[in-house]
Amino acid sequence: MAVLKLNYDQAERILELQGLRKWFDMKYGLADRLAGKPRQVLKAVDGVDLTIFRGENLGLVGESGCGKSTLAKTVLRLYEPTAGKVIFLGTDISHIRGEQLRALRPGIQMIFQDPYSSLNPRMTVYEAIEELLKVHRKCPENACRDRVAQLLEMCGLSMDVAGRFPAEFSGGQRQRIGIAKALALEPAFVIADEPVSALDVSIQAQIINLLHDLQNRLDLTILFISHDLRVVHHITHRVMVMYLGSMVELGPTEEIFQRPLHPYTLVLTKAAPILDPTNRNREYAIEGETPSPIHTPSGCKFHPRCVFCKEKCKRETPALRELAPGRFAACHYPLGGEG
Amino acid sequence: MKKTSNHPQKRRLPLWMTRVTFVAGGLIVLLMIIVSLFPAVFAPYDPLEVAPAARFIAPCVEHPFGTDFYGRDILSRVVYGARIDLLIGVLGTAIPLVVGSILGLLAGYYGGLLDSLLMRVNDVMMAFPFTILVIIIMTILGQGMQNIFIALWLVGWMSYARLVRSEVLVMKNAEFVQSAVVAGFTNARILFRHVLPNVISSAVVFAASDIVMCMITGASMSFLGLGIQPPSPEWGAILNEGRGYISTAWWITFFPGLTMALTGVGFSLLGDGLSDFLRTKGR
Repeated sequence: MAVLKLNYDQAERILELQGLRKWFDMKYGLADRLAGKPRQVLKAVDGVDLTIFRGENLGLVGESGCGKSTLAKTVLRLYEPTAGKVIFLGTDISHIRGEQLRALRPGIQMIFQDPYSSLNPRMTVYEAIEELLKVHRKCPENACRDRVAQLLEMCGLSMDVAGRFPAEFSGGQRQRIGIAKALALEPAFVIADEPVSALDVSIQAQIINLLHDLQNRLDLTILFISHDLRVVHHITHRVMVMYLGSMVELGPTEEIFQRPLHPYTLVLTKAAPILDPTNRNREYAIEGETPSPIHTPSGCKFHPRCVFCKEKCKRETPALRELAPGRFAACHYPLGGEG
Repeated sequence: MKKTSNHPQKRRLPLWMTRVTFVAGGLIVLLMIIVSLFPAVFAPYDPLEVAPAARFIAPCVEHPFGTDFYGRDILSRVVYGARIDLLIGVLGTAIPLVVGSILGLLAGYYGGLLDSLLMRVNDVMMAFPFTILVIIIMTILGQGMQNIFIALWLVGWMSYARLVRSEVLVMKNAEFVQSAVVAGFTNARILFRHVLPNVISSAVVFAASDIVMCMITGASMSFLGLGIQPPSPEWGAILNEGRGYISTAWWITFFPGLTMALTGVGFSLLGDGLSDFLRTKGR
């Protein structure tokens, strides 16, 4: 597979994924065994190579069920990878455990999707943030209060709310608390897993802007997972498109939106609703359901739904190729005729 | 499920009524605890003192609850009995609450062999009614206060383990538990600081009614002659002694029965109030 080389070669590599796989064994009961059914595996993440550089915001898009969240959870080591490597700041963290893993955890933090379940209902905001600081000794005992105040302020909240329980906040406020918690450990890398999809549209913009500001101010490195392409377009530097557990396209955000190389990316960008009833983009409407990640199609996984599908696509799996500087796609016949 | 809190939001009673039941229950329980701690203050006579001349005296000023076949003062016996019955109720509940909750917490969080083993044992024991199981164990172990405790502990932990386990199964997938893992907290901290406080309230509420259950089971054992030995004053034993005279000397059974019922109501009210209190906290 292609090694990713961007024009910012000199930038520090925060995270590298090398052939990352996460397969789940499906339930294989006695009845299946007696019926002679083969064991089945769900290939949630199936060979992803990726490098994330310091200071960038990388968008990860794809339909639901394509393995975005599994990828995030494997990087966070909530799952152990089936194969491949997760290299964080030069250390291979794919299979470390126990104390060693716990010591590394503060470096990678997560902003969760659902602000209604991501905060412990029995801890006040202050207790929750203070606990993080104390467990990892992020500040001297007597400075904790100031640090909590600083974190809250950074996320647009004031110290007045520190004594309250999560139930006393709205969704948007809770997500601000979630962000403050993620930043409390001064992570080198933050994964935001659909951070606004559970929020009202009116609140979404505020949270997106907050993330955007914080990234600039704190020089954060973010993996931003979303299925909302408008949001991704707005705040990310590069975009990675996933389909059925594999990367199909990667490149600078603006270029990907202007001139997609992979037919799937084209469909995704065109499928985003446009507020114009006369222009419905029917010719780009995607057909069919996502194939099951248990029985993946032969050749190019996208071929059954691809309008440009040719004979070769059904037989051979396309490799990820660098088709233009910094632009990668896994397609035999990329759009625009470069291939 | 997504957008609502994990704790039921509905209140069955308005706030002032909750307070009244809570306070009333609390007062009854407090009274019982004081009585059982200082029986000598409340009992006019020695509960074991036999007075053949004073047999079957109906309730009067000297003997407010009357006397029994041996001329023993019923009030004194009920007062001294409170100590035994409350002890059975509280201790018979406290140990299973602690042990069962911890087992349920571990089984639910870690799953695997411990979980399967625990739940299969639980299934088998759940097939028998609570009281029948206690009777069987008492029959095997023999009479005595100590054996009542052993029987109640052996049977009691299951309900708590089951209750806590099922809540943990839901709670362990909550994002705040994952966020505690991602934050690099130790398993002990995650289990006891993040999971336990969110799953324990239903077990605590159940414990309040379980105290009544244990008390009544203890009394039933004594009533059946399996528990506390006569002449020790225990409410179930007193009821049993008065059983033969119920048509001629009703007070022997009436007053201990009434006390038992009142204590039961007290703990139930307390439990109700507690459940509302625990559900509102942190919401």
